[in-house]
Amino acid sequence: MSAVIEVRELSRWYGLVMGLNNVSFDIEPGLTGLVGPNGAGKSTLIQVITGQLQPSSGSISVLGERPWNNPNLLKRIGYCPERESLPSELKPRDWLRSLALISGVAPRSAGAMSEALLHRVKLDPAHWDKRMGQYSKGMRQRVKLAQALLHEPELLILDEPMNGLDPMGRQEIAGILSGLAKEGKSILVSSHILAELESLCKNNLVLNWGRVLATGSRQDIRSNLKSWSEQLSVTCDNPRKLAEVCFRAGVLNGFDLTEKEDELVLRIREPESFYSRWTELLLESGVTVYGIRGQSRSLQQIYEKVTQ
Amino acid sequence: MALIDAGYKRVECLRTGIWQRRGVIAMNSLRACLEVPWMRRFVTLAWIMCLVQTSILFLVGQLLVPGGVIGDVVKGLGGPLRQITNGLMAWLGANPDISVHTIYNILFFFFSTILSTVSYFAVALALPHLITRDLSSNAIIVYSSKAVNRFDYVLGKFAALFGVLTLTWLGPLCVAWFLGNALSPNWHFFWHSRVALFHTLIYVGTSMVFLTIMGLGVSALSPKEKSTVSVWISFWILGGAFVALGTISKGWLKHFSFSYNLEQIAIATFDLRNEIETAAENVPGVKQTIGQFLREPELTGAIIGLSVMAAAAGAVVWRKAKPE
Repeated sequence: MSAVIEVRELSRWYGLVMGLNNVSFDIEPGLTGLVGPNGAGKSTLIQVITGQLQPSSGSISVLGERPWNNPNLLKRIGYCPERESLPSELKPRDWLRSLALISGVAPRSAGAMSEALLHRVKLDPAHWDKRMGQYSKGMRQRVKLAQALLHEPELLILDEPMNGLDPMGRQEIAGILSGLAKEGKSILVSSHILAELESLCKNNLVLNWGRVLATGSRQDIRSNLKSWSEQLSVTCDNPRKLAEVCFRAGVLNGFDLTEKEDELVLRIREPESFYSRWTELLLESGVTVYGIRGQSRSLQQIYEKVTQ
Repeated sequence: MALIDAGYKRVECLRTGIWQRRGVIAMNSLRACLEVPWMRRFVTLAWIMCLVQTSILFLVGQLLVPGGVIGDVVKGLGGPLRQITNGLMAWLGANPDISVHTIYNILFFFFSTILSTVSYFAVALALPHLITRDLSSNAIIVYSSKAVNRFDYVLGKFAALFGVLTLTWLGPLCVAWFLGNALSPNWHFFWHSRVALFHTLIYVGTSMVFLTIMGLGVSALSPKEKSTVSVWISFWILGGAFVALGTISKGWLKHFSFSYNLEQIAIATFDLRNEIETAAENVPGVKQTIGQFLREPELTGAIIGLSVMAAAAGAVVWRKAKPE
């Protein structure tokens, strides 16, 4: 599958400050999450992808074209910026209609298209005739998302699209994004709400200090972090004995005896070698096991680990 | 069951060209400008001036041709008023160069300069609706993500302000020219007044281009509406102060005033010096009353001054009218 975004040795400086530092990665079709703390370079990367910033060095290809100063490419990209970007004195239908016309939609179709999209982002028609200055943040987010979808782009770039939405709204927007991905659109979505990205995105790109720290699926990222141990929670009749046997075998980074008397948390050094000896170690310890629960890493934990 | 179909409806549509897209940016901004109540008042004032000018052109036309409405009215008059009017008509008839060429030229110069003041106010009112609000609302980020580049965006805004000035300046003058000639007793007036129209188009057209570029520059200076309007008004008033200063000290200081520079272009374009000299040779008192226009226009300084201002404004627009 060919990448929708290919970035090679890309850097972007703001004077002496480096926004992106020699990053290289590919983004495949589908839903991809862009994760990183404030100042990580997410917005810089998004601005470079959408052609609003010129790279200082390196190359970037979006849908096979260079994005800088390329309106033809912008016809194929939808962009939902993080910042407030709605003219407060306008009504959403009028604004979307204008943007549709600017995007090249014929006048007779622009109105219908705008209304279809307002339905799509689930903005209540009762609010369509209000000026956007009167809107709540969540409503404005929906209009911003609608404008990004206006010209039926192949690639959607969404910068913090869930900001300001209530839980139900987030779920609705996540549903819309999943639906769009199923329709074959490629979507790059950045967010600080990592739990949502974890359930939403197939792949993730972790940025910090202008560098790519990790890329790929959650499993890929986890397997790349060999020094970072898996955790296994075991409930048994003699946790100390089991911990001693495993520790002596050299397969642990450490262990924790919890407040519960019969529970032990093992911090595994290398999952493959640990699980190949796990049955043997259990037999050697002679403990009676009541339960085993794997503590797979959430994206939040991965994110915290790689951005430390 | 949902009352509305919330599914993603693909709307099949024809795609439009870049000029139409630029036109949308222009029309949106123009509409926003015209929604300002004071802007509508200034546009109305400009068109009232158009009617006044049309009326004057009508009266002049009737005076110039024997058998016109004025002639008929005069026949019914008695006493000295009839003698004066008859004398004026006879003199105008005997001096066709002055009566047609000069009078029309002076009238169009006069109304062009009056409407320029109306237009400076109109620019002040339009400024927030050009680039300023797009910067303050960050809507410029969204525009820049659509299939138009910065040049298209700026061109659209240029067309919007040019449209405002057409409504307050060039439009009323052209309509007055057409109506004034259409109401004249002789179709030859269209031909005889062509020079005045040509001068108007040259002067007002050039001024509108300079004024639009400068207006866009000020509009892009700040995302705060009050700031941009204040800068424009200050720019205008300070220009007047520089003219006063230039009269008593260094003359080039006068070219810091865009209104002074535009006035110099008007004097040079309408060639009033030549017109007034011709009139002064034939009409007593002309030299004393409008002798100020006998000064040679400072055209080179005016063009340099306006070019520098336009270049600075263009640089501001190019630097600020972008999302970065």
